[in-house]
Amino acid sequence: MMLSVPVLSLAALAQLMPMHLWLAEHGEVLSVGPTLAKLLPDLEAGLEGRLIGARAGQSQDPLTAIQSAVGKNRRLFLRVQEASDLVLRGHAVRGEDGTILCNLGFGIGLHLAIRMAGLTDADFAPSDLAMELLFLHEANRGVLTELSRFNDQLAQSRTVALLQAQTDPLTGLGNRRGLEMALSMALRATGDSSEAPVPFALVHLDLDHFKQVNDRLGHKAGDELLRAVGAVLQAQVRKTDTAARIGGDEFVLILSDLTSRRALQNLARRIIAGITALSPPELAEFQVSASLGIIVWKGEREVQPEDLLAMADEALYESKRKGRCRATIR
Amino acid sequence: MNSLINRAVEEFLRAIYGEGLVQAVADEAAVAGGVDALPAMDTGAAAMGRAAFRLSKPRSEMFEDLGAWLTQIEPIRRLLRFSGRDFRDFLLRLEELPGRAHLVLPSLQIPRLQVDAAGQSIWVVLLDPNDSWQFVLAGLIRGMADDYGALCLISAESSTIRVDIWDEQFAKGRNFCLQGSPGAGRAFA
Repeated sequence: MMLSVPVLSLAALAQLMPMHLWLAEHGEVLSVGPTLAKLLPDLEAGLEGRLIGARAGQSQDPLTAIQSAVGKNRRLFLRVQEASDLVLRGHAVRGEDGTILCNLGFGIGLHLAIRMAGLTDADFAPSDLAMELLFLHEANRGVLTELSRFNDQLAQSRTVALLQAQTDPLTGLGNRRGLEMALSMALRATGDSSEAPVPFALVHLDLDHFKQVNDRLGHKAGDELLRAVGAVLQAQVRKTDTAARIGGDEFVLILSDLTSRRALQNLARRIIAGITALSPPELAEFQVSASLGIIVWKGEREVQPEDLLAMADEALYESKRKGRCRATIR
Repeated sequence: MNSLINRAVEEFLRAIYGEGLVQAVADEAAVAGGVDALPAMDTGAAAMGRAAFRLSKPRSEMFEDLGAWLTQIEPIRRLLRFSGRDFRDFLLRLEELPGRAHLVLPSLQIPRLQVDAAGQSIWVVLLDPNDSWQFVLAGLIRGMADDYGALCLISAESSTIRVDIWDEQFAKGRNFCLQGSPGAGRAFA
């Protein structure tokens, strides 16, 4: 049984396929879909100068491109001459009377076409996913923008939290955790045998007569003194060094690449002088100063951070035993 | 995507009631045991409840206002306008809303919707009844009626929103063209 083919009026064809292009056998334009006509208003006058075959390596002549797509049952790509980055895509069939019917679409150039022709929802066939594509595009952009904002915020909070977790709020120096991290890092730098170890000096510093400041002048005076000591230490170390308050009136410095005993002795003297200058005049008989224990580490031995700290602590107690206000360098 | 909902709630409270209320609600949430200290709000829904209590407003009204406010955020309004060429079409296609949301945010659970129509009346039924979503949706529909320029009466029945459309072209709707502005991606300033 032969099925009879529906015969469509031009109006019905335009409604069903708003992006169609109907050609006579030799290329005269018989009908242009309304949406395609919005994009190329004078296409009815002919293909020449308006569309170009866009398949690489094939003829640029639009009719040849269309006929070739029909003959080989291939996809058809036609570039819009006045907007070279807009390539229409589609397919084409030949009718029994020899005429050619093409159905075209915008593909990924949809946004460009909308901008060029001011298209609206009504210009797309309901079966066309153009509206869904536009929806998804905008929705994704919105969500991505929001998510990247979240990410930035999280990264920022994380940085602040990390910094806070390693900082002594009173002095703004590092705290014990910050020191432990810096010390591990200084020691780890030598783990890789390819690099020469960077030696450093570890300074353990304890204030002399700090207890008397707290007891006689109050904790507020004590806190102010600690803050001032922090500033003195900060001023004496370089950017690459670490200064930390690890508890009460105990401070630790990591001085990168500083191993000369003379240089360390001079630095100790400057620090002690700076701290002595902070001594409250009310406490004449208990002048505040500092005792230091310094360990020079040249990378010659494997050592744990806590062992190094213990050695610095011992050196510090030797300074205390010998009468305070001095540095012991080992 | 809870964080997006929380942020929408936060921005809504900030836009309508000011920074003071946002801070008060956030502080309250923190005191109530917000372990997750980073986002200032615990969850959007809880924040809405706290705000409603502070403002002595019924929760329903707060959620409805949130829905209506969302339609005034340009990128969100645009996404909603993509779903219908006129107000009636928008309502009839609300069934697609959960699917559309799922395409973009798979973790956002919008209750399934079923739309029935008879004459000038349209019923939007929440197949998974949820008070908060129902109020938000009612507000959303109210906002979009304004956007399309339609005159309608919106009433809530149990897990159903009823919309009686009096005049689809009552006022000039807001402009909508497919081509968005370059900055259209940013939902909140």
